[in-house]
Amino acid sequence: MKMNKDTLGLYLHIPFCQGKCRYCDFYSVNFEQALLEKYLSYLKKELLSYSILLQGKGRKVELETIYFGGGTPGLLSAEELAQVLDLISQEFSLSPLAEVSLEVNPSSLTGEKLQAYRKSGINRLSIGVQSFNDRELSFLGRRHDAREAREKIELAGRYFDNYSIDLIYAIPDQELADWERTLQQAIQLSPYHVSLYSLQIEEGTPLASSLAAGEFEETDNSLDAEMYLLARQFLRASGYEHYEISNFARNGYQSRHNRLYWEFRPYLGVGPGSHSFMGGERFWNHADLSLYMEKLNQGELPVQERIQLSREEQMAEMVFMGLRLLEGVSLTEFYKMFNVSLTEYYAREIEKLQSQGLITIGNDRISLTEKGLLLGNLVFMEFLP
Amino acid sequence: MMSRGYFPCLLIKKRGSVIIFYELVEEGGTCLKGKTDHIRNFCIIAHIDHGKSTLADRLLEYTGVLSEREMKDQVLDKMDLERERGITIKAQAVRLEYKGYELNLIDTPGHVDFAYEVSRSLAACEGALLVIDASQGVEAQTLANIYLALEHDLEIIPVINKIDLPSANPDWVKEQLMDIGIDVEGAILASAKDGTGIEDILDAIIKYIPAPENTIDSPLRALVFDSIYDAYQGVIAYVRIVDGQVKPGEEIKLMSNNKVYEVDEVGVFKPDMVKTGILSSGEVGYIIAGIKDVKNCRVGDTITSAQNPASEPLPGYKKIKPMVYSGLYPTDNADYGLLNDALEKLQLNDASLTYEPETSEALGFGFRVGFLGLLHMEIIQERLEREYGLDLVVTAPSVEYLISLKDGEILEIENPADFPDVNNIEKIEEPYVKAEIFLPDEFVGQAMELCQQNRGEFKDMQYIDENRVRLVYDIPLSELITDFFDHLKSRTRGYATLDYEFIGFKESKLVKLDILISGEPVDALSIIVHADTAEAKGRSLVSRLKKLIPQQMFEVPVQAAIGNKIIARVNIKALRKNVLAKCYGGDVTRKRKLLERQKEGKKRMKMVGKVEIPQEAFMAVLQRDEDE
Repeated sequence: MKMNKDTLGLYLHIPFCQGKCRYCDFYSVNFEQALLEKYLSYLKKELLSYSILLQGKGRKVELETIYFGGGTPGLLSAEELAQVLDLISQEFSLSPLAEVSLEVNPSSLTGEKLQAYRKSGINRLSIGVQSFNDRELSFLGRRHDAREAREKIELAGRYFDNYSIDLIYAIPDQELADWERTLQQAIQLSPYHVSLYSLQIEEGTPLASSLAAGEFEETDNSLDAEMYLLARQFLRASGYEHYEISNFARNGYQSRHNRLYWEFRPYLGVGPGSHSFMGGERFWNHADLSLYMEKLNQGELPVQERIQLSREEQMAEMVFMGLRLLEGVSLTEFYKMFNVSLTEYYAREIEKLQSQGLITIGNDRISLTEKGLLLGNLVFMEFLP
Repeated sequence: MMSRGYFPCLLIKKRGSVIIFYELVEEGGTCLKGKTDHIRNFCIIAHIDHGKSTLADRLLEYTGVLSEREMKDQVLDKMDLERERGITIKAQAVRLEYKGYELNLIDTPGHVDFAYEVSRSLAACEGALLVIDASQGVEAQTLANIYLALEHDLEIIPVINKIDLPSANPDWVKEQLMDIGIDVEGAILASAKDGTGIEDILDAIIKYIPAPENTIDSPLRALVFDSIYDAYQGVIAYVRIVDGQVKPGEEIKLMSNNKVYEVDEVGVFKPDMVKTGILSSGEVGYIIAGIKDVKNCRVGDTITSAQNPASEPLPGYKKIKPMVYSGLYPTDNADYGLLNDALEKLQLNDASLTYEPETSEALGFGFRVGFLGLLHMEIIQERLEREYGLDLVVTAPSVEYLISLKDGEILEIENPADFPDVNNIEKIEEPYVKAEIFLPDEFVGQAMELCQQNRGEFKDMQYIDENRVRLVYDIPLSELITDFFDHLKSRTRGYATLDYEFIGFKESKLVKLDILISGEPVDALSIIVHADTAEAKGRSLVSRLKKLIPQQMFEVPVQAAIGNKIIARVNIKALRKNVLAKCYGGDVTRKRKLLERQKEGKKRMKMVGKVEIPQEAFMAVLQRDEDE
């Protein structure tokens, strides 16, 4: 592995849930306290291995963001979180300005817990609300209702001055008016950040089986587009900046961790099924808890596969990930990175996409048009080698 | 029992080279060459799935041609495709040695598309094993082949297979066989799966099938029952020596084209090729003679001696013509050369495959390819895609039409795009087939309805046993090459079987149906249909295209037209949204793979004007809706 002097983002996967949501395809197992404790000891082992591996000449690796994702990281007690964070601050260099996010579900939040989280060093919450409509929540298999969601968001606001809520749209049988009500309630609560995800039916999930069994129909892409445009209009009118295809933020509250992904910058993922990117290499861990622990027991990293990106692949990824940001990709940054002009290298693709009205170039940046935001995949695929 | 075996012999060729070959010699050293009483030539007649290949394997195994360990499943079907689909495409031959006898098994293709090849294989034998599934009974195709076998005066040994199955009913099968005039006295009950009856079968072959006639002193006549192309040795002709003998160094002549070649090698199949130095009357084996092209050594031709030629060829040779045509186009125009090479290579092994270059406004450069039938077409298409890695657009299959123009000229049209101006047409004739359908009588109504819907003319109906019926219809071939058979199957819960043969051309009221996409006619989607059903076909075709053509960035109208008259129209709504929403926790690789898959899907589409059309759309005319 190459040494990396850049700052890193750190992702920690907490693969436990008290029940699986019907749409989710992230790796998780049923929550058991004993297993969680055992897992945390291995997670620390993995963290220690990387701290040794990555630090050079007595210099610790600097972390810019930390993100606890899952699974359900909210299942960790504040004490357990604090232990992990303590280890991280011993082994890595953690800037006092670092963003430290924790994914939580409304149903697991209490005032006490929130206070303790804040004290342990968490400074940003990402709350999995998904909807303010009870029918939709139960369709998705969430374990809270709209009332609880509202209460817990208000509660979170008392302890945190930075939090985000996730919402899902294009849910089967959801009408534009339903979506509008959910958006209105979200805006009333004035979160700092909102992520909007169009429901994707992933292979192997309970929803995929229901779909195959004909229990519902997928939302037509033209309604999906209406919902997206409605949300964009609502949120922008309420003072949110639309800064990434699926993300909106009040001034100064963009997700710094997620920006690392879009900006083609390095990050380390620990825990089963987590993904890392550094030195032009993408690698990921086994998405299997026992295999993960077994590898660490044998003194190995629990890495399942490594892919060294070719130069062409790196260029493609920088462009298609960067185009997800509304500000787009900086032509100068691209040139600095690859020593070739983006507009010359992709001249043919750019010409085609411009003529289709999907992208625009200006102010040293290439970015998506509004039409391009809706049809991003048609743009992204053009840059693939 | 006599003891016989193969012993090495030497042959010195004219040019001075020495060949070592193996000769069958009786104990005491008498060479058996030229004798025929120890030879039996036989084939196996069976319906698909009745266990022909498994039985052949068992016979090979029992006679020690191959050990169990060496046996891949079903050795005789050499192509992956044959193994996968459980069908035989090319004839194969193998020599079995059993109790001092030489038993030549010729495995024949089992599909109506290859009826001519089957007839030539049967002509190479004196007897046939008739394999019937003990629970399925006699099927149409089996019956057709039984008649063919009887025409060739073959001794038939009925083998009632799969008696290990709980549903087996051998007595019922025997009754069926008696009904069609087969002697069931010597019928053998067998299970190729567990080996029951294999020894009985081998003994019966020796006992009942006559030895070939010994005519070693007559001029050479060898029947070509198949030929394959080998990159190193050229054409390998699979032959039955009917009269005389042939050795390396001799000159031979193909009687259909009078081409002369010098024999390099002769031998037998065990099942790999083994040189023998001579083949003589009654034997089955191969001849290699520096023939460069299977077209010069077609199935059914007679090989004779150039020096001492026979006066008459063996009966039955005909050059077979394709029945079904379709356009094959590379999805990527740059692959045209590859497609050309691939067709050339396939034709080396398949003289019945014809092709010529063709240009489509919509699809660019491609080929109009002629096939023996739909299965043949599917096989060729699959081999091109699998063995040569080509991505193809295949247009709907078409037949050959005879169009008489008002000025007296007669056109042979295989491509709907070449259809002349309606005003110049005097009459149009299309090929008809005689279709024989065998089915339980409870489904007769549904089957007759289907035939009528497809312009079938009722010819005959008879009971072949208590509850099984044979229906005969004359039907336009163009109706059969859509999914007629699938519908027949579904309407008869899979019980019906279908067999057909070409009977000639008949005049029909036909029109050309055009499809317009975004206002532009797409030549590759044009079809020829009967005037009475044109409107309904047009409506169902545009609605099917609507399902098959993905949404584009703009609205796409799809229309069906006859001449200038639009008869149906649908609109494909514009694609409004297509973008990955989720972050996948930094899993960029997954995102990239999703995009790659989408891009791959796009690549497989054909750009027609500004519209991307998937390959399946060009075959859309093949399917029909049940509710039509």
